[in-house]
Amino acid sequence: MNPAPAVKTLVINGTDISARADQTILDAAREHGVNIPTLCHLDGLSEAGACRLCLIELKGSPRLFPACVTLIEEGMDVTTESPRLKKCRRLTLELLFAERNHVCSVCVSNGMCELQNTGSELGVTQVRLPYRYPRLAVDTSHERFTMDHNRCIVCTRCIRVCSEIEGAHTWDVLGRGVESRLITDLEQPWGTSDTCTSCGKCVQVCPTGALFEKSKVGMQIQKKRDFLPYLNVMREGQLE
Amino acid sequence: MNDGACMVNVAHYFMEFCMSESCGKCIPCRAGTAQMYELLTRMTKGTATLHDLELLEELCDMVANTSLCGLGQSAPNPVLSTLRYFRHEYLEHIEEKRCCVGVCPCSSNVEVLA
Repeated sequence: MNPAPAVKTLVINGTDISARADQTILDAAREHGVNIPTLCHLDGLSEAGACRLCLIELKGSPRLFPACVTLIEEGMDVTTESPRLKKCRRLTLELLFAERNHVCSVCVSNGMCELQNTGSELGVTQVRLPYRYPRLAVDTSHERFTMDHNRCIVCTRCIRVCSEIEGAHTWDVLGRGVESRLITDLEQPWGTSDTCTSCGKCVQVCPTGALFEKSKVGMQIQKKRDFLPYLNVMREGQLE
Repeated sequence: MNDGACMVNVAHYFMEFCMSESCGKCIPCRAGTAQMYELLTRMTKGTATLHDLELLEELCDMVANTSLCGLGQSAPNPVLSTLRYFRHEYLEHIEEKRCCVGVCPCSSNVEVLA
């Protein structure tokens, strides 16, 4: 018989909850109906902790903590909404919108975009920062899919799903800082990639219109992501 | 560094360093340092407004508090400390479009009589 999983109790937004000891703050919060915005986290993939939208406040510390990579602790007092957090999250989104071309009206993913949805949830109605708008390439060399670098937010979900779930590791990041962008294999056109199995998992996990299926627009893009946690459970079952 | 250094130019120099050293993983450091660099460039060119200074201060606070690693967390420090002790130099670049030391591009706008 398995030993009962250790349970810890904590406070989220003034409500006492209990959760498994190995859960992150994000998991525990979502399980109890508290939504924390994220763009890089996806159930079934490893954590990146890169988007900084899930930052939360912990009582007794002036620092902000990323909920997706912070494990719960006994007696924690978590605040997921505050004027300070809202300000940080909105500015993070403004930075993203100003970084590349995210003009929703001419995007294939308009209406089905996580960046767009998060922006409207957090009330980002204007971008005060100067738009950078670098002119980046659009890779249409693949038979079924397109990569539009202008829409990419470098959340690295595609890299993680390709490496961890599909096992191909076709995607990677080239360069650093504001110049960093996604590449396939050794910076070659996607269509000529030897490792790509054309499974399309990267397209399913992309939060924006950066990766999309050709000839599909707007509401036709229904992302299917349920397979990720399911696959992980099945694989863990086989290992035991 | 001595009294011949322009503090806006110094902050601009350090921000360029942080921007090029940023790895690009987290958004505040990747996009934030690039935006702060752009705002500081405007100041050195004499094209910035007081609104840009406000934005710069807001970005400094946000990037320092939300970045993933020490590079992003400390990237705004040169701007914050020069603003603390030399705010008048920033205001001079913005309101008078003038660099008192004469190292910034905006100083070439000043018409030299005789």
